[in-house]
Amino acid sequence: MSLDWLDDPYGVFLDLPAGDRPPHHYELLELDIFCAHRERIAHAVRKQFRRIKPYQDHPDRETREAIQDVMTRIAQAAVALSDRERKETYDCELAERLGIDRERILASRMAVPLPEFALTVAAGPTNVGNVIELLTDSLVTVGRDPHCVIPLYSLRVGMLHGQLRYRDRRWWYRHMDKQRLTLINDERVTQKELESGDRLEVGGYVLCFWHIEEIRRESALDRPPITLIVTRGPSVPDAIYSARAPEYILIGECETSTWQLAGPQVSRHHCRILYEENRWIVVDLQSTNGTVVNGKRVGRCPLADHDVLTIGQFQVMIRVRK
Amino acid sequence: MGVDLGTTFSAIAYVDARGQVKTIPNREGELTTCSAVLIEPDRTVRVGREAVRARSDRPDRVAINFKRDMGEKYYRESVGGKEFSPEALSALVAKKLAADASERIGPLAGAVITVPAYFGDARRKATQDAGRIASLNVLDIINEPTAAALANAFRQYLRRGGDATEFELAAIATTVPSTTLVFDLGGGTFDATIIHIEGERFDVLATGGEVRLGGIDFDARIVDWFCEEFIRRHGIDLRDSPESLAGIHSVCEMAKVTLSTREETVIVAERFGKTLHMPVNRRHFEEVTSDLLTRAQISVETLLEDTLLGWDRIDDILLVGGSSRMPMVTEMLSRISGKKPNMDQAPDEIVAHGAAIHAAIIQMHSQPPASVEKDGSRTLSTPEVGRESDGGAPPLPNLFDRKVIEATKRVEMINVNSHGLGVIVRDSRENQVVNSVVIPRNTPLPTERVKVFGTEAANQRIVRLRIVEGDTRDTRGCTQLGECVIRDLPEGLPKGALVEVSFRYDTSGRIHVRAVELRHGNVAEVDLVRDTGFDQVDLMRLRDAVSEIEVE
Repeated sequence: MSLDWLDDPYGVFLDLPAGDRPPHHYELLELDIFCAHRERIAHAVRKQFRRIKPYQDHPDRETREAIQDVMTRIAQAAVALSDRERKETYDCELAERLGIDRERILASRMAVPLPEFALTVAAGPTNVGNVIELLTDSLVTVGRDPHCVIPLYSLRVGMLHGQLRYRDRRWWYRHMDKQRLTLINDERVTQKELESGDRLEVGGYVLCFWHIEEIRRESALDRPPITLIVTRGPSVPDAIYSARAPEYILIGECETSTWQLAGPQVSRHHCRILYEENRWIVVDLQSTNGTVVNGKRVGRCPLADHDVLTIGQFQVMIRVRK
Repeated sequence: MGVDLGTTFSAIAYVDARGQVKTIPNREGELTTCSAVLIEPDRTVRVGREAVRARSDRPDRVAINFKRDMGEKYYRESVGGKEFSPEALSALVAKKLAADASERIGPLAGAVITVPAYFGDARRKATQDAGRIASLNVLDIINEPTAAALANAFRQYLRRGGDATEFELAAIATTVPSTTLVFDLGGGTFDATIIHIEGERFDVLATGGEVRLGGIDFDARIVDWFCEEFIRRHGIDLRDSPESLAGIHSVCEMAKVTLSTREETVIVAERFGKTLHMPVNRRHFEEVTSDLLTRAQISVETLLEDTLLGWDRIDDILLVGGSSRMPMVTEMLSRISGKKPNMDQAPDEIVAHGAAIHAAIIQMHSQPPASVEKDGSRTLSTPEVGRESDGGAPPLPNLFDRKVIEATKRVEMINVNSHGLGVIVRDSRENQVVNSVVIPRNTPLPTERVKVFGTEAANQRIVRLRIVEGDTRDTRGCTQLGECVIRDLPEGLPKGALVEVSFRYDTSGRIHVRAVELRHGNVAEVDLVRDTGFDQVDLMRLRDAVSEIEVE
């Protein structure tokens, strides 16, 4: 019987690539060098042990001894890497032996690129003003499910409404929900490459996609947030709605409106709220039943704190923070 | 009679008529006997402490640790210029135990011998053979952890206030179902087994371990460390002669035992007029042996992973084996489990106790109920004449109380196989010979499994199935147990004609393999009986040789 595997039990029984024999602990456990993840180390130890152990009863005595050596090595690796102090000592020795710079390897592994882009919640029932920086190594999920990276609490938002993914150095948005829709810059989309300044409407929320630099500019705008509160009228999904940064909020009965007030006497696109010349104003969109501010039908009218806006059967209280 | 043939220590125990388990001390009055054999030039054989002592001046005449080589067909230990198989050496130990025991309690009926649960088929056979060579009537072999769990359950019953003489319905039974991890770190082997106990039913859920991990490995670490120190101080290697190595070995072993109860001790050795006093503390000992304990830890962790059990599902941890006395064992187990391991019974004897209980159970089952008197009074019936038993050993006397019989008869033990069983086939996709596992390890016994394979070539007239033990696909991790050959297949059979292979593995360790060519029904069957590794002639010859030897 040829016992050529005795020359390299590590290669034969653990499939380790050719290299130093015996291999250093990280090679033996098939871990990234200097790996500091405790669970990952423990898992690797068990995995290698499971692979080698069935051979421990090999009929050939010499092979058996070689297997014993490998098992001892795995156990030694487990001892050396599971304790902080021991690992530190071992790592330093290893770095010196291999002539490599441990600090640099660790630093390069830590160097996940800083986020370049972010989403801001410009308007919506909750979370208005939030800024979510987008990490390039992750899938950013948007939806009502609290496990989403960007959870949006409104019945108009799907459990998994959409997701953002970084591919080929670009951010892409993909719509996921079958019953609902996503508008980007007022157009209905299933998938789109995002550019800084894009306005995403996800179930009544307005999310703005910005390059980090531009967010700074935007947040420098001294714009008081406005909050709209339904004080009377049929029930709606979002009775409170806030806005901070968007150019406008479209109010109407239609599904595509930013703030949906569904009821009789509300037009599909009823009115629009926007920020102009340092104040919030309401503009009627030629609605059938008109837009009324403090009991007076208006075409275009500035809004102040405690104004009452009437849209069909809805009475809406305006709050503008100073 | 329960016989625990350990790597370093052996013990023998029995269940008395009132149902109490007792260890039988040897002639020297020790409860455990060192598994060491000294063969004097005049062919006198001495087993036990005296043999260990003789190691320091006549190491070539003493055999130790031969349990590790059990079941190796061609391995022979050379003792006093003569070759011995590990089985024969074990037989000498068994003979000494049996001889001393019968001196104290009279003639022995049958014996149950223990084996580590992780032993493969060859090693089990060898252990059984050792018993036969020693002219014991081997009733069965039992896994050491199972024996320990059995003895522990029995003892718990007694502690709850049960009286062994009153052996009521719940005799051995625990009241609540519980799952126990038996951690058995002995002199040479390590076993970890998870057993679920419910009523009188003992279910082994899984077993794992290492056949080469035990106290002697821990000793070797201190020996190496101390010898290196000696070389550094005096430039002399204490390991250069067998005498001196044996001497330093026993000194280090003593130091290890001391360190289990004390924080510090001193190792002293002298050679060619140079002396070295070396204080050693427990921390240092634990440091140099840390990887050995880690191996046991990894085994336990993978075992839990295999059974998909978390530590919250383990109710008890039972420590068995002399090496579990090392405080670091308890520390390690409490650290990883968050539980306090239980170590209240003499860990060296518990396995023999369990084997004795198992032997009693077997005797109950074989006992005709008619020989028990109606009123349940103790009966000392006369040995039945003409009863067949293995090799003419005396028939089993009827020694037990009726209640004892009733209770032990209920005990049910479900075991698992510690190693997978499969057949060697060619994987056509990889064009490689692989082991196709039919019965995976940790399958409850008895079991029957079927797999279907296709023939390798067109017009194949013969199908040869090699039956192996092993868990890897890689055939290098397997040992062949036997062959099953279908002959005389009709001509013109296409390639890939179906052959059904079924394995039946019963509780006594018998493997029945049946292979059927499905179209024409050609059948081949083979029984692999875990009977003996030797052929009958060899076995008888060895038995005669051993029975002539006077063991002291």
